[in-house]
Amino acid sequence: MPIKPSVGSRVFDVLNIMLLTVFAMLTVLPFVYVIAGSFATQKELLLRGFILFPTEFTLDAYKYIFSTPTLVKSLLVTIYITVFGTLINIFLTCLMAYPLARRDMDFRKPILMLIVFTMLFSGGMIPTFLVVKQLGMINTYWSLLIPGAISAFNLIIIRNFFQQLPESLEESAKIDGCNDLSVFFRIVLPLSMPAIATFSLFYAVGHWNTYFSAVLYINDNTKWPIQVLLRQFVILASGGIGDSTAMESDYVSPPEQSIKMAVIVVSTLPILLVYPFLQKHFAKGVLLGSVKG
Amino acid sequence: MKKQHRKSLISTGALIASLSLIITACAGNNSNEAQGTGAGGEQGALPLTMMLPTYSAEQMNANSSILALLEEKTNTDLTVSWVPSSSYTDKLSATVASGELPKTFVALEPKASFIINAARSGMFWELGPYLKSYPNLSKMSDVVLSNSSIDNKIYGLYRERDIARFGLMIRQDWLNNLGLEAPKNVDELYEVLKAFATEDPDQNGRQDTVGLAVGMQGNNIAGFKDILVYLGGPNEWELKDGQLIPAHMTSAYMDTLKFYKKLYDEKLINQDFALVQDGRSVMYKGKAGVWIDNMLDGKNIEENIRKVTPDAKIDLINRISGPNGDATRAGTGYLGMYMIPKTSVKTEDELKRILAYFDKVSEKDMQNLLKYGVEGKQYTVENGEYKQNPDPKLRAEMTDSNQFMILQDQVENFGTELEKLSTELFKDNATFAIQNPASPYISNTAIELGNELNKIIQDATVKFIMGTASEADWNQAVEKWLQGGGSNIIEEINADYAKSAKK
Repeated sequence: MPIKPSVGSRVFDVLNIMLLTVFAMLTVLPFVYVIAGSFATQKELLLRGFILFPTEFTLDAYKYIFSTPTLVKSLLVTIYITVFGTLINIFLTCLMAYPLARRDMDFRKPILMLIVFTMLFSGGMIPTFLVVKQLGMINTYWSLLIPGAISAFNLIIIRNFFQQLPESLEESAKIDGCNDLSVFFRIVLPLSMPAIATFSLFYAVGHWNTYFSAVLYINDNTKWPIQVLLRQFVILASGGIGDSTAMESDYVSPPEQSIKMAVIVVSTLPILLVYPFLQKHFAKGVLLGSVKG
Repeated sequence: MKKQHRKSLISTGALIASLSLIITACAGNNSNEAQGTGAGGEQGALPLTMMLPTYSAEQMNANSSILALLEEKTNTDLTVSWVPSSSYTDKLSATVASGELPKTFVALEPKASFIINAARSGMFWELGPYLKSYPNLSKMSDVVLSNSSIDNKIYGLYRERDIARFGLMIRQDWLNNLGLEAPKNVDELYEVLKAFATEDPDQNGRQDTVGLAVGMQGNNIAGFKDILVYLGGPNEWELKDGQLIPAHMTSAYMDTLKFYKKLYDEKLINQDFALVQDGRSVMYKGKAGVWIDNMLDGKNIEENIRKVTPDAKIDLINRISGPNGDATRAGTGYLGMYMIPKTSVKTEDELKRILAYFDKVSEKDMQNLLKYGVEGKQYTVENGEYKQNPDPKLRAEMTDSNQFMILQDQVENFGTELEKLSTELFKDNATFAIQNPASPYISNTAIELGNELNKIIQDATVKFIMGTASEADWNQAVEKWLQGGGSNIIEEINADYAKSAKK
């Protein structure tokens, strides 16, 4: 027979549910607002301000943004960068993390020190630009994929994850005839899938949000990823153009609010849809491995 | 065991193969690039690469008919690299630092420190001595050239804008509803604002309107600088007894602060102004009667209000007189300038050909082409009436085409009533506009700390208007500004001024 909950615990439950509902609303409402706004008419947006459900449903904003191939093209560019970039990220990060996790590697400590150094100090925009230019990557997608191929922070967490795998596992694999590479590919990687899935998502979101490096390194506007386009829409809509302190800005008529919101929806939804598929790995905890290590 | 080994060999092989594929793919990409830029360009046409800001989500197509006509008329082969206006300066500073500049580019903020430093180090051609040998370029205004100069030298071709474009956009239908006249001076302006806020100008039976729409445009309170000038204040800097003083240290600034505070206390401006990013949105909702900014905006504001109130009508007012008579704020007269780097244009001959291109762009028919497009395509003129072609494909061909323009002195006055009116008022404004006397001068401290220091003043201004800061607090903020580097700015600007006054 279940124990009857006390009054105190029931009050606690009610308060808890209320509090969590408020938190959930706080995170969900902005999305609902943007999605609803993208289907609303300009008049309604102006008059009502905050809309959770448009009274007059219209697809005009979407018709407008899909009337030219630009948006679709930059969406494809972003998908390409995300998929390809994430593969490169994960491959290179794991490839570097594994040796650093092995206790028998030489110069492990100094290399780690160098990696941590890059987390604290960076060259800055212009030196990085010069390096990318000297490598001949200007105006190619490589400039978006290679410079950030390994994130120091992710590398260290993945290394810690590798480190908590029992050493005896590798030893027995070696006894069964594996060399280092096959230990890595056949034993370590399959066991690390939760971590890899999680960091794939981190990297993928990073690539999806590529904005500034694209503006810096890509001269050809047909190669712009979606965020550059999104920012153009949003910046124009807020009227913040030019240097407001010294220069008199040129007037550009801003796109309608609903168009801005439609672009936000189109540029956010695809990456949002990836979450549910990786959610079960999140449940296991990103830093799980590092705690034990 | 052997099998195992072979398998690992195969996987290593696959790894190497995929890596080499990646590398070759990269190389392939590069060679395509080289071919792309190398091909094209007929004999005799001047190849000209340029970097320009774009203000649209979508850029001008490379095979736009306007671009083609521009190339044909000027005998050039243009390669344009568009950069979003919002990140233009960042990209430009990286490009300048790398030294790999196009043959010409627009410096949107010619007084940015990296441009000044590069110019001082001799990175750009000094264009001043060449201008007089070109029929159109020789007509460039001395005032604007001086505004855009660096250390009294002309390093760029400014892109002309009307020198004074600010004014009032006022709801004419509200004036009619209340039977009021358009305001002509500051006192009448106050009366009109009061009537707009209290006498139900939209006749909906509720007191839900304000007089003046105010927002924070960037860091500046909308309309503040204009009302400062109406009240007899200076435009950014005041020249008094041979000394330049920043606007916020003048007594007119205090008057303006008090004026705004009165508007705020009497609820004649929207009470949430400090949080509103773009004050125009208050106008759009049909809740405000006056907006002060670039009058070119009037047409867009009217269109937006009409979505809510179909019979709204906007009128433009450019003359509001105060203690010193009619006054309005002058801009710098230009928006960015074309610069020509010595790193990519090596010979004087090439420089002269590029200047000839800019001279050609400033001819009358080219100016109109870049402003309105091709007659019969982007627009038609029937019985003297200008009509825009609504076809989005044709309109898209002239996206940002005005970015190519330098001089705009011979552009036809086409457009809607409001657009035509604004063009006329700009001309009228120019006759009595108050210049910023400090605009040719450079202060290194202002370049470095200007934004942070401005924030002190802006914060104090907002607080004073909202009544959370007293006059003593305001004076304290000014003192803080002076000590934080403001006194250096004043010193440097005055030193620069003294230097050029001697010449």
